[in-house]
Amino acid sequence: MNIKSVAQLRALLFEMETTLGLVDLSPNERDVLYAINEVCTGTPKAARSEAIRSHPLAASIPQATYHRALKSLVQRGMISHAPDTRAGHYVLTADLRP
Amino acid sequence: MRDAMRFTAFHFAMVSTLILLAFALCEGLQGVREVILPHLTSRIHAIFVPFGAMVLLTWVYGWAAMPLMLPASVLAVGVIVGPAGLNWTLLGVLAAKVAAVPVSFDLFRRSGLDVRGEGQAAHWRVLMAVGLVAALIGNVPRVMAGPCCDGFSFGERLATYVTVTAADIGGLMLVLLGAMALFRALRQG
Repeated sequence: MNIKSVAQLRALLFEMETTLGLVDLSPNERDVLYAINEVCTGTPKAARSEAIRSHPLAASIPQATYHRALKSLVQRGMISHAPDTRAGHYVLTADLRP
Repeated sequence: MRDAMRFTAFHFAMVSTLILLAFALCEGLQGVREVILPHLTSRIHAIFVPFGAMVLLTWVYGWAAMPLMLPASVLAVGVIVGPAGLNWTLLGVLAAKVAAVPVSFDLFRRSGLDVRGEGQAAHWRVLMAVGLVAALIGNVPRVMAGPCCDGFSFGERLATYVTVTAADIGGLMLVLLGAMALFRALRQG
């Protein structure tokens, strides 16, 4: 068991919450998540912080709001900090559906 | 070496505690059922919480979950049935039930749906499907050879099979909902 397993478990449970209609992402959280999904590359899918920030969906979000949205997505388990890489990389832990 | 042993001991203790708590909760629910519906004398649980715990723990640990879960499961069953009731047949049925869970995960992985991996397969509905297959596999030895069905006709065994499989799925759903509520509370707290 490692942090990635726990993050994946949280993502799975969050998916369940969403299916049951118990949670909604804010518009900014949704935009940041979509931006991450768009710029992710490789296996596992990872995205650099600068690439996320410069994506059109995230570029217009105020700085503090952007970082709050990023933190919220990490707490929800939908993304996690990429292991064994430089700081500022994020990994998607669940596939997205609009 | 010492760190590795401590690491293993920690995970063994944690998994054992969760399995024992699941069995305790299950027995508690059974007690409530006996009070509310005293005319139902069957010892078969309506919701088998330990199965849900086994599926979630196997999701986390993979095949390593089996040696972690089995001792606590044997202990719990031994407390429930008493030392006289704990025989090799019962132990075999229990081992088969525990083993059925990682087998099911493996079957799904080999068919392209790796629930423990990343991507679309890491979805709670697929996890429920894995649980269903695990229950279908694991309950065959139980109804064919387990003490619950001694002297049963084929029709009675079939009815029991459906009942215990439904109880397993109920247990899995309850555990998932409980875990979801826990993470939700931690997030909002």
